[in-house]
Amino acid sequence: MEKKPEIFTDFQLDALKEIGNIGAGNAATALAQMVGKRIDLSVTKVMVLRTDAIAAFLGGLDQNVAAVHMPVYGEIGGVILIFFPLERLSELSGMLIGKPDVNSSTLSELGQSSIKELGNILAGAYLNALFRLFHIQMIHGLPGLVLDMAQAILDTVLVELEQKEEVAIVIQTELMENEKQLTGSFFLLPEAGSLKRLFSAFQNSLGITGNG
Amino acid sequence: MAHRVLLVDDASFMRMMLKNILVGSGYEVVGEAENGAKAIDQYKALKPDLMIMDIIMPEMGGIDAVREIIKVNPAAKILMCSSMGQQSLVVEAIQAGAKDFIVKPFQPSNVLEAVKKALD
Repeated sequence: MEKKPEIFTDFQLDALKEIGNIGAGNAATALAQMVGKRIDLSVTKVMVLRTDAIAAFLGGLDQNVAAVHMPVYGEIGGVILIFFPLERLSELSGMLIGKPDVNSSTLSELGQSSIKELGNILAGAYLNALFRLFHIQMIHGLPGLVLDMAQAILDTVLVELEQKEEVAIVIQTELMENEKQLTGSFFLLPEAGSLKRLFSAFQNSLGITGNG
Repeated sequence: MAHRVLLVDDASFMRMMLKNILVGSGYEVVGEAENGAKAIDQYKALKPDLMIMDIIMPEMGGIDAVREIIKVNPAAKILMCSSMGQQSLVVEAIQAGAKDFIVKPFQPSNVLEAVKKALD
């Protein structure tokens, strides 16, 4: 039977939204500290999306995007993907390093390192939110950076995740820096069985027993 | 004489940030390593006064490297520096022998305060 987002209860969706809000707040604070500028949060949307709809959500199967990806381990396993707009990558790297990258199209080694580290820290912000809210212990592995078509990135990542849930948790955050908008999309693609453990953890943390 | 520091992180960008903070405050960065295994080799070769060590790295992670370095020198001074600030990781790092734990992203003042405290 296909799993559809509609089967998530209101309570479960609210719990995910809370993770999204707190995680996005932490992520914005983290980004502000890294670039040394004020970063405001304008909108945070939390969605549950079928994995086969992700590429279309990002603008189309052949849309070129930049993604930091990393495995996650612990009570919930899976893959984290953080997408940045490709056209803003060089600017973002410049803000982190403190000067424009020598290679604006594909980024220098230092530029790529800065984006991977940004993804590393943003992932930590969301996972720390999960832990603080619901005591779900997860750690992430080494980040990788890929610049490619959305579908190609997803195909590679989903192959590594041998058995997965059919849905992904998406936290889309719009950040503003000096009136410039930057939309970052955080995806958690859980391994099979993880969602059940995730929602049990939500219930346990609130002292709710029985079926939720 | 300036205190000698060894930086360990798989991200060259993070090593650059830390180096800028430390050198700007009069510390000497004597070496850099990109994983725990190289950190152990560099520690033995350079004998720094302090190490700043990431946790998640290829080949060998930071906490395993701390354990090995403490076997070499139980008085080694190591600060962990990671985006993962969960209590269990902090406890594990301290139990392995680290002196303190800095969560990324950090303010330069937090790094300098932790470095000063570890070296005192």
